[in-house]
Amino acid sequence: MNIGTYLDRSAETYKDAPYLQFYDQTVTFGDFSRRVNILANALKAQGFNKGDFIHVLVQNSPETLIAYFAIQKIGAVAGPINGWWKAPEVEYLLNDSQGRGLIIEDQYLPILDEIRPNCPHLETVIEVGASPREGHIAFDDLLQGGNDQPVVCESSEEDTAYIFYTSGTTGNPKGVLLSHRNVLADVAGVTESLGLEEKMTALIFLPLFHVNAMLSCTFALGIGLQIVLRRQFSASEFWEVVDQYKVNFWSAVPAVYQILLTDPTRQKYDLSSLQFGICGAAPLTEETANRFQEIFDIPIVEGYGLTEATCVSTLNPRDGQRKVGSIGLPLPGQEVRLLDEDGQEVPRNTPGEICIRGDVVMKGYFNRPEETAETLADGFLHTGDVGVMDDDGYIFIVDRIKDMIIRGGENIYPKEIDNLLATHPKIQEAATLGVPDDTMGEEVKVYIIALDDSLTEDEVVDYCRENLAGFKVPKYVQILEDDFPRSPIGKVLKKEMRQWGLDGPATAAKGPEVTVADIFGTMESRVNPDGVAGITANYGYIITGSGGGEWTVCVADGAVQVKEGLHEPAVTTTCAARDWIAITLGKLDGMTAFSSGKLKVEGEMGLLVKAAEFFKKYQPPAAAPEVTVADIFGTMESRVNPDGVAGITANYGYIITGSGGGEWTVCVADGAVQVKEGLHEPAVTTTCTAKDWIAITLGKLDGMTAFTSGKLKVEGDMGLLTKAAQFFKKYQPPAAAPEVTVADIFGTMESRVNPDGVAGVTANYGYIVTGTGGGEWTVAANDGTVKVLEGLHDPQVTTTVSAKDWIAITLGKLDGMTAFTSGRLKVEGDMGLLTKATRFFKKYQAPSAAAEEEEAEPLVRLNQVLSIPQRFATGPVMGKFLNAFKEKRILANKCPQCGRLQLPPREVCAECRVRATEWVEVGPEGVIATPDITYYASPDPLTGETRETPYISAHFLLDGCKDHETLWHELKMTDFDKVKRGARVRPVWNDKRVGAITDIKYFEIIE
Amino acid sequence: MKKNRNVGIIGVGQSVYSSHREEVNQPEMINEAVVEALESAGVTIDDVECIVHGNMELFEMIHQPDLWHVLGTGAYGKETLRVTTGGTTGATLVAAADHLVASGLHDVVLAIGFEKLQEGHTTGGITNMADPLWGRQLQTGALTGMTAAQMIDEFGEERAKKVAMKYRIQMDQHAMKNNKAHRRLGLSPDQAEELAENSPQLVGELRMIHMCSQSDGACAMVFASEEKAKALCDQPAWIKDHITAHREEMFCIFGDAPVLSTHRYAARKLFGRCGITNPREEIDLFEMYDPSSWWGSDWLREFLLLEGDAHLKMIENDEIAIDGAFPVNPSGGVIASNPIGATAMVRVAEAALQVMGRAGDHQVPKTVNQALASGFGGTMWTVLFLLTREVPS
Repeated sequence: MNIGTYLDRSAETYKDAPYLQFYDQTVTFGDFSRRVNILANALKAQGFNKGDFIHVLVQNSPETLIAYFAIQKIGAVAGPINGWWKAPEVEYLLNDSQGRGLIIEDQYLPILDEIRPNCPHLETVIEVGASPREGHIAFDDLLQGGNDQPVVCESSEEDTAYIFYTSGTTGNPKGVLLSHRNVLADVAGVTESLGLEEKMTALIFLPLFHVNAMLSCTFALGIGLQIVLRRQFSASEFWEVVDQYKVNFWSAVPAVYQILLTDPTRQKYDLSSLQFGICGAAPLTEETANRFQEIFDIPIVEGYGLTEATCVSTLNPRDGQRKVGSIGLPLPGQEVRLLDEDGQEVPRNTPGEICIRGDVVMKGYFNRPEETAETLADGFLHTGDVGVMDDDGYIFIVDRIKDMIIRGGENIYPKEIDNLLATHPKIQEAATLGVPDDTMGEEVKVYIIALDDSLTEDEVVDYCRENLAGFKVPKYVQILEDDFPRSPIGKVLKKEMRQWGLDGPATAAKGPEVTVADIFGTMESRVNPDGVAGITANYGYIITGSGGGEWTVCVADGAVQVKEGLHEPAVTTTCAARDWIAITLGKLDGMTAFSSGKLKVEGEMGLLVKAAEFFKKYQPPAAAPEVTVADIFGTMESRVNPDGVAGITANYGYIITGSGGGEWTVCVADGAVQVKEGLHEPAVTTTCTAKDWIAITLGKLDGMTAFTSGKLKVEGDMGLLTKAAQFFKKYQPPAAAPEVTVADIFGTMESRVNPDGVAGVTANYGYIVTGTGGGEWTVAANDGTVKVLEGLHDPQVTTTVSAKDWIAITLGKLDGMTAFTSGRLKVEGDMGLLTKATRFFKKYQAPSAAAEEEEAEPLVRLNQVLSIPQRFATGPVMGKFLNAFKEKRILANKCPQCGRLQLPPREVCAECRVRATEWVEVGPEGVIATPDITYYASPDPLTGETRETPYISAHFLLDGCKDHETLWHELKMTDFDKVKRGARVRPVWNDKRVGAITDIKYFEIIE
Repeated sequence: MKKNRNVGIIGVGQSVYSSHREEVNQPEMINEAVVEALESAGVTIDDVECIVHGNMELFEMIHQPDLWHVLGTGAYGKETLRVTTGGTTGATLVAAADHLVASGLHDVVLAIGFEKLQEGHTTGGITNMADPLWGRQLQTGALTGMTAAQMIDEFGEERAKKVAMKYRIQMDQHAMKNNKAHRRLGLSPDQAEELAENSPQLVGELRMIHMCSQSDGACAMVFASEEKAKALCDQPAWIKDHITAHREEMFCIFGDAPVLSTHRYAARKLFGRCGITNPREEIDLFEMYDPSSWWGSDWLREFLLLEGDAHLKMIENDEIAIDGAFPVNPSGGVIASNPIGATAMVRVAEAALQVMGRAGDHQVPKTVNQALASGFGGTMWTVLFLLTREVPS
């Protein structure tokens, strides 16, 4: 038998019984078969032949299954494509399989657009969707009114039915070839093992591009079982669906069970139809299994399998004894053995590699003879999983074979140690691996993530000693501060950890620390001239402990030199490094330290008292600003990944608890993302502590791990949440801003000269900058050239200001005019010259790493500007006006009474007070009515930014307008010299227009 | 328009105006004006039945400042009304107080306008106010050079600039006589050319010297019913009439065609109903809300319903000087002192002081029988007061 005849037989037997319940569609077995035949005929007509690979990239739907079966009916090979894959992965697959055909749902077209030119083998694209592209064949057209003559599948049992690509943890995905026999053998095994019967109803929400859902929908055909098919898992509808269709069982992964347990809505529904749940893909925790059993009074049947053996190879019995933590018993028709390295079966309760033989074992990997031979050696499928079989024949997974440690000839399975340590009350998670050892070959090392900071390495070893055979007790223990490296789905990447060797992970650099060396090193720059005046003496310092050393501060009447080592000190201070730092930072009082004996003084004590005045305050090096939850949410809008949010509309709520927490809602509306404070009708709500949320954002804690470990709780539509991972670009923690100094401002002036600004000006500008970091400078402008000199040199105008204010003014944080009018900035001399000086220099850039980053991500800046006009609700009239900008049209509205045009339009004519409803397109060219050149701009209160001046705003009389029907906007600054009333202008539009005032960059004068 | 009963201004108090009144907090600053106003009216706070309080909304970034200010206003246990209408607030406060007394609701009302701009963000208030969507991108606070451009266009650069600077120097000379004024620069006419050249340009030909200041300060006024006013005060300043004209939209008022300004509209209506046919003759004095000397010069034409260059001639011929034929802003005007929430009230208060003959050093050397005072603000918003020496009939 082949899959085609299997389907034909099913259709004959169950005819009008419902096969698929897909939202408001019901597809009977007969319908399904008929549609498969139509599509099969159509595929033939399209020139597809036996053996062709035809890929299917369609989200769960009847069409997905119709495609699989139709492809198989004509003897071709169905190639499901993982709908979560990105363009490069799909491109790799299409080129690896060299498939001729692709049945694709319209939602995945962006992927196809990206890769189509790189996929030369792809000939025919069939599109599932409402309005297929030109050049694509419409799936619906093929089905509607097509030829429903039965197609007889002529494939042999050995012929390939499916090619499933598995995304292994190593290397590129490989195409697993499954024959008709493979599929039907697994169908038979599962059906028998689970005792499935006609008229049962199964809920299928796992994706059809994985073998699990595919197999479920296939075994349903054999026994006339009804499938409730959903596009994806959704916690919010789950129980309602179970109730509505009286579902008897489903197949799921552990995370789903975890979610279902936390969903309180179940109480509203009748769940009496439930009989059992299947769980696979990863081990279920005992707690989840037990709670589920308790709450729903149904068993969870755990099983094991892999794509290479079609799907299911072992299952716990539905009615017999189920062993928690076990993958159960081999399925009928499959031989599952535990073999040692020599291919010999190991005794019971001894670990061995799980090996499978039987009709379910794949034909091989497509085009990979070596890997196929390796995996299928000696007639068995070698799974790479190590298990033990107990006396009853139940198999327990121990570990992956490649993770096994061989210590002095003894095999040690790290999972065993990991699992043991996870039960320690102070341990969150452990990862055990082998490290090279000269004597033993390998030694055991465990990395620990502690739950409790008080955990010591000895406690870990002791715990192992109590519970494990001596040879398994780890020799090395390292408690990590950060998380383990993990794969995207949260698996610990032991392969990566193995590269750490014995030393463990490279420790991340901590924030700048205050060091004794820095304190002495900066002393000369901190000399307080008044303090040292008149003193000549050498001060010795012996700083003990880590980071300590010996220094001498040599003071010679006003001059201070700091030398390493002791050089004839008149007085010597001895102190621990820790205390010296504390004293310097003002955290420990010097006198207290002295009287308590922490600080010892030898020599002339009187000199020391004077030393307190020698130096200005020590400023510790700036530490990197802390990452805050507010910053994470605050920067989200600027980090939006357009591809990630496209097509999604939902509100995501976040309740971040603990210090620095709060409530936020990320509102996604088809491509646009807005982050609001508070919760606003979230479709899914995530609750998490601030600490964990920061760790997740920084990639130190894996979100899925946080979820399964209960650190992160989710309520609502869990399916939405998985999409959210793609919404944002990586969060960059704020970088420490290097300090801006007055010296730097003047030092960089020459490099920032604005040639237009200084042209024609010859004058000396003096600056007396008072306070710390201040000094005197002269900016000498000489008709186009600018020299910055230290000191005052015949200035025509002199500005006096404090260093603090001067920095603030330069950075635009303090408005110069405000500083002037408030008396904080004083000017002597030719005041008129000073206004010219504002145009001398280009904007000062603080010496900050952040500035570079900003350049790398221009989106940040763009968004900031555009968000300003869009913060305000515009209303339909202003909205229509702004939206027309997208098409480069300028609309005015006309008063029906006086005929006056309003620009921008307003709801009501301000003269006649009647609604102005008629729209007129004006311009876009026109003339300047009144120009306004702004030389002085005050800071924007929302952004704190001060516009660069001068800028020109003007009222433009656009073509089609008259009298005072002018539009107020900006004129291109370089048109400065040509500005006059009546000059002809045209708008300059931005390439990317979003329906905002800024869509018009400015108007420019037409020559 | 016949009032229910006449209302007289019987007391005026003002704090000293300055860029920074750091030595006092808001209630203390307000209290200076309140104390002076009560003293000037010869009443105590117990005589006051209701307090009207206002300033430019949020210019100090404080919500409901009237609650905090109770210590300074004396509003404890009294009815209090808060009014904020932007730049016109001060004048609207007077209008509110007038209505409260005229209606018979209260006999004695205290109105207080204040601003402490040093503590807030004026531009923040202004650019977010009327049309944040459009104006924020282009406007810099309340500054515009368009009036200057239009005057230059109409009258030629030399004459227009000269007039604006003459007006400015005239106002400074007035301010020198008012020891409460904020900016008393001691300018003399021979500096005109130098200032016109060297004063920093803000927007177009609007230079810093032309523009009003940002000031801290408070003004308080006591209003009384005709009966009480006559009993308490030898010479009250009577509120004959007032009018408010507001144009909602700020666009489409620039351009080549003449637009009826709210000033002209308000003046025409007010004069019409008060039977004034020749304002320059019939009115003795004008306290104008003049945010800049360009606006001050230009608006004379609007308020006095003049045509052509008559307003320029008034300035050129020293008519607006304190001893001229039609004195404008003997106090120094807004250019000298601009505590915004009080500014428009100060116009009425100063006009009242002139009517009452209590303006001190800047009292005009003639009897003021009829005085005009204006408030301005918002997009295009005018409040115009007419005060008289005689009890309105």
